[in-house]
Amino acid sequence: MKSLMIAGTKTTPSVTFNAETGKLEISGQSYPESALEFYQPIMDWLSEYFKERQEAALSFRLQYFNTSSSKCILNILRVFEKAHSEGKKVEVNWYHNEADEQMQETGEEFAEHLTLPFKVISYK
Amino acid sequence: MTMQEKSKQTKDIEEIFKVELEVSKHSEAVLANEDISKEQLFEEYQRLAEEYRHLLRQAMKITRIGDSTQEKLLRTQEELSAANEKLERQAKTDGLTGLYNRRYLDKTLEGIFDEARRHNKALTVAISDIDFFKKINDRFSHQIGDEVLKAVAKIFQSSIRTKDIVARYGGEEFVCIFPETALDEAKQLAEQVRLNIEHHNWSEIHPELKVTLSIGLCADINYPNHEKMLSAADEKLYEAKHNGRNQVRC
Repeated sequence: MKSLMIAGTKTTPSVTFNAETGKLEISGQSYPESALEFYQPIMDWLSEYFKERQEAALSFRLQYFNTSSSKCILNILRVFEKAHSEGKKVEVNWYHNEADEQMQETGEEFAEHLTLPFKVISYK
Repeated sequence: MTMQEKSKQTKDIEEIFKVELEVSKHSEAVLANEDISKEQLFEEYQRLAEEYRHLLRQAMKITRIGDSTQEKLLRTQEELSAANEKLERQAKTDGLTGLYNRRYLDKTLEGIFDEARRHNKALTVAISDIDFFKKINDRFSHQIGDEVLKAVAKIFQSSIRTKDIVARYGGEEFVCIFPETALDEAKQLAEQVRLNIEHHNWSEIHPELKVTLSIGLCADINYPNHEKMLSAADEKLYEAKHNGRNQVRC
């Protein structure tokens, strides 16, 4: 399976999903004109990935995202939650700038109804 | 946010969804009733499906409103940072000539002077003054005086190197920093500026107009601070003025 690499732009995050290591990262800003159009290939890739793989570590390092993107992030987390319930070894790390209290709270909000390992981590 | 504020916020949000919470409470009660008929269950299911459609439509609408509000916020932030950049640029620029202003030059020279002292690098500063500028203003006009200042600024910019820094220091005074430049080289550059000004086609502005420039240089970084170094250059400018003007002294 091929890795998924999408370079970031002003309005879309950079995506590096390494199929070899199972390390997946979404970082930057996310307010695309069409969130669905941007996130659909990611959702497709993930559903392929979990068909054959048992492990994944997903990191979010986002500075800003809009409401549509937050819905897409919830969809991604749903995929991970499902993998977790099937006994796959998954984890999610939510990185936020230590000064960005709002991003921290957003991470906590996302984690609230999930049972998979979800860490909110601050960085300088 | 304090715990109290947080729990109040949660409560506020619950209040907003009061109707929906009641719907779900009602359905739970219906389901808890073991004697319920199939028809009643069907009716409840229809009611819930309708409620679900309604909520979904609301969620989509809220998302759209959220996105457009965020979009607006981002645009405002962009405008704000563009305005800030413009202000920053204006704060260090002389309005008439577009050169750096005195405040910017003082700050920059201080940094370059300290750096030159620390690493024992060459540095030359030049201070110059348009000869008989007051007479130009009086004889022709202040408009022509302004034209002269703008033209001198342009000549400075085209005569010096990109690493050099030129500023309008006062009325008709211009200061030039030649970083990592020894006196001989700076003197040649200053001489070029002086020549370019002398030979500029001033008759474009006024048929009888003639403009020359006197320049004083200092390349001694052993002064206690950049201000003293600039004063030393100013003394050389004074010499140039008293020695007949239209010349470079160091």
